[in-house]
Amino acid sequence: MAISESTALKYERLDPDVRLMLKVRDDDAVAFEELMRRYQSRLITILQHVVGTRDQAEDLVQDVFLRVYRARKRYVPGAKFSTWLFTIANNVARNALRSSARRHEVNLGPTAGNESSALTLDQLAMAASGQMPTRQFDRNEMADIVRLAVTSLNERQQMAVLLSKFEEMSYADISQVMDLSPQAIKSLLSRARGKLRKILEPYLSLQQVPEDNQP
Amino acid sequence: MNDREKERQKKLDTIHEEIVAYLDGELDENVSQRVEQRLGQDPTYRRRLQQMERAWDCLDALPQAEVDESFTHSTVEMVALAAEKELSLSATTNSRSLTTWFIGGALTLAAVAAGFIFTTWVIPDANQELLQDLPMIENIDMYLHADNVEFLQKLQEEKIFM
Repeated sequence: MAISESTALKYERLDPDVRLMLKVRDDDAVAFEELMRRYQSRLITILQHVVGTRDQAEDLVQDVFLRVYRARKRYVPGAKFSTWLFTIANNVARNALRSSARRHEVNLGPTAGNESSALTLDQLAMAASGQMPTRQFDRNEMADIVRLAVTSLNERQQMAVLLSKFEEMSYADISQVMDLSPQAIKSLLSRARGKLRKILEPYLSLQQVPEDNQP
Repeated sequence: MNDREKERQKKLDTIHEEIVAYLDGELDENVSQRVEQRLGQDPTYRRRLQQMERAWDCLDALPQAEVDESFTHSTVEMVALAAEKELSLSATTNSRSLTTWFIGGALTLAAVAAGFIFTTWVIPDANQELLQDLPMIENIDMYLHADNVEFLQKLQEEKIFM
């Protein structure tokens, strides 16, 4: 869809990152590096949870920046820069997951190959059904539990949850990134958060101890 | 699932959507006020919202990536390499297109020349034929009196009427 001149001007005025990207369009290498510095860790955080490993997330982030560079001459601001960037990242992640599925590489999520994680999805299910021995969890264990809970979501739910949580994106922005309607995002997030609540609730009731007692 | 259960599930889904959208600040003023009113009156609704909120806060336990300089450098290098490749590719394309123009021009000129030669030498000129036949055309009335060509040729050989 063609972007009107007034829309482009609006985003240029409102979003400093759009102004940086317009400099990148004019082959400004410093502006490109600045954008990279602003977004690289944010992208790795999201993609690491989606694809499972830090290494793969780093590869994908480099691919995202390469695509940004290659698309620079065609860039016209039709959204916030972050929305545009995460749209590219979402496509890159989806392609990677598809190729990985084609190669029959079963991805068990962030804990695959991580020996420090002692929890599995089966254990999470047990906990959710109240069969797990009751004990408190330290911060690392809790992080593992949350990670596994996130990997229990489907691909779309994961992306929507991560964009909402870490990027604090509105439903409208997430809908642009994921090419879905805002209503679909509302339902997607509601179902995802319902599932997270169901999985995490047994652990949350155990975690209700004073902050001082936590490791 | 029977119809009643389906209806109940649909109602629950709507309530969940409303609670999540309220927590995300995605409801308009009127709906937000309605939710707040219900929160004050309905303990089950309030508990459900608190559970949702706590589960959401749990996601803060997820680690956030930190990136060192070496990653930034390697990405910059990778993009610089791509830029270099892009430049050399565009230079090759430019030189190729110049060569293509030269070859195209030469071929056009050759085609024009060949066309000229063909039309000049191969296709017969109608005017030329008329010029050749002019003596015959001028004397056509006289030739019409003779019965055959052999008789006229004989007269010419005898040089009787020259």
